[in-house]
Amino acid sequence: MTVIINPEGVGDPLTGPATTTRATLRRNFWRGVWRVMRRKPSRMAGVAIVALFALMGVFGPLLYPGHLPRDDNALYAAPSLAHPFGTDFEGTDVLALVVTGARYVLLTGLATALITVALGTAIGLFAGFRRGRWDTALMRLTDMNLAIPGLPLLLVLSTVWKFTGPLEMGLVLGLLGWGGIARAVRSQTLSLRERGFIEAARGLGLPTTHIIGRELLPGMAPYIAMNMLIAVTGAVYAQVGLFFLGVLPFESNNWGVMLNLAVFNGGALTTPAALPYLLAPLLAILLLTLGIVLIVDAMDEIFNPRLREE
Amino acid sequence: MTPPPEVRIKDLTVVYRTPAGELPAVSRVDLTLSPGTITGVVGESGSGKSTLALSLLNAVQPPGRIAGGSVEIDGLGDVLRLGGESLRRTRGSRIGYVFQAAQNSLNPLKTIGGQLLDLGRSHEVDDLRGLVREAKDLLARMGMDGARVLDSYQHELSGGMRQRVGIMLALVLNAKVVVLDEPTTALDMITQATILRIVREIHEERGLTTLVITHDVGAVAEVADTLAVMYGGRVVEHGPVTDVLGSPEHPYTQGLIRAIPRLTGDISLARALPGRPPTLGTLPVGGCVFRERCERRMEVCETVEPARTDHDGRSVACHAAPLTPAKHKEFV
Repeated sequence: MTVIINPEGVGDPLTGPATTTRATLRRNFWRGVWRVMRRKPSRMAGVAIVALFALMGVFGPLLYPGHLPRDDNALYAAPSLAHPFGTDFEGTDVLALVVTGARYVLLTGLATALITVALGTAIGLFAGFRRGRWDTALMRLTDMNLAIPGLPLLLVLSTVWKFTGPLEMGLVLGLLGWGGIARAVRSQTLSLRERGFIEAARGLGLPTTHIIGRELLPGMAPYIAMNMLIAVTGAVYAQVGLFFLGVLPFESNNWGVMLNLAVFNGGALTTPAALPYLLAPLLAILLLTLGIVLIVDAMDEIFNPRLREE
Repeated sequence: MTPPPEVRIKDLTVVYRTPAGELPAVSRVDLTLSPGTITGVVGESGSGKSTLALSLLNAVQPPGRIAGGSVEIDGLGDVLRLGGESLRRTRGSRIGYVFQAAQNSLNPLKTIGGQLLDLGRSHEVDDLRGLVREAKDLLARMGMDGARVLDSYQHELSGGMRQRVGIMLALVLNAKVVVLDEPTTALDMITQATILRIVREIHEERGLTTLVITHDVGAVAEVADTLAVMYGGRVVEHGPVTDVLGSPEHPYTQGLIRAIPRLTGDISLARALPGRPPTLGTLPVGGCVFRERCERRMEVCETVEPARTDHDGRSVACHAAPLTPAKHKEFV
């Protein structure tokens, strides 16, 4: 989608030396993204929040020792300078738990989003472009996927299969969640494939793979990107919910585990002592959702060249 | 320069699958495009013009189907027998096609240059720089700043510019057969005239064989050498453009010309053809397709489809026509 033109005009045959400076300024995709982001402060806030969580996921566990230190003298300690969100039932710092727990949560979210979007887009594109028998078969499959109630199935699955890691968890959530995107991408494909420029591409002898991948797909890019971001939040809710309900083994640090322990062991709903322990992961989920929603706002402008320019 | 190829359409039938069975949109059409000429095809909406043009690319989309006949192009053979990769390569590089409403036939998300490079890569052009140079030349030839246009998105160009870009994309790979489907629809008069002049000039410069589909008799008079008149999926009259327009022999052609309002004189002299154009479903099965709107209808028209009769380099398919060639001297 991008036409990146290098400053000397050497690598790209499109521009002569005379127009390069202007072309570089106008056509650099990432520059356009940056411009769109800067248009509203809320978008920058969203980027900052998501970047913070990304850093947390990548480097968080490196900041703390493998086993977080306990302090038997400070069980359920109130927030203080040393422990901004207090401590848990073992005297471990709650902030440290949130930070180290982010990797699991985010990895699951990312894996889910990737699988959901990849499967949904591929199936929707194929069904919409081919139509006919393939379309019918794939859409019945999609109906089934949409009709399966996700959470109850996950509960049942968790009794027979212990999800051992974030990626496995993401795989299962992803396989359950692609139906909606497939449906929507198919309808978009059906509408876009009748457009003049697709007919023209066919008439000019462009290969079918090119038409699907380079002509149809970019038209849906904002929608797909938006869904991908929203799928991340959906996956976070789903897995935190599962851990909160306690149907999965507590093998590692996770925001859902924290919520479960705060409510069922710490009695956070009745006593104020464990309240920070409950609120910290909730706040993290809230912030992550907020960051993503603020970024989603920019998607249409990023992918539409007409809105991307000044 | 290679000589312009000849295109021979023989006995071409294209049908559309409908709930009422397979109905012909193009019915046993014979049409030869002589090398180096511009052939115009006129007819009302639904007369099968666009379907005929798409058949030249073997690109009739379902529910349509080419049921029979052949489209032979010099150096290519029968296009209708091509399939898969060889057909794809033919499109664009051997047969250029400018689509109906070419204003909408550019990808809104890519620069023109990006689309040009896509086209080049799809046809394995090694010298992309040469391709860009060629494109810039063509654009300059059509009165535009090539560098600026290639660096633009379609929304940054006007309707006439997009139309010219469409023509550039159809020609840039050096196709020798060019099909223009309604090249001047939705453009203002001045742009129309410019586009037609460009088509004419480039046609001569590059030695092309060109087919222009339109419903605008005025446009076709300006640009074409020969004219084919289509009605109900059949070519009812075909011949040199001055002859066909100057002394039309088929009652439908006569009616079409009578329906054109004159620039000078009384507008009310223009008379619309009686009746309405047939759709696929209402097309008569036997006899002459035009008989219900025809003022010279005879008994034989009900049952026998008129055969094509040729004389003096023109042909007409009408039972009454050869007897009474009406003169329309007032038409320029």
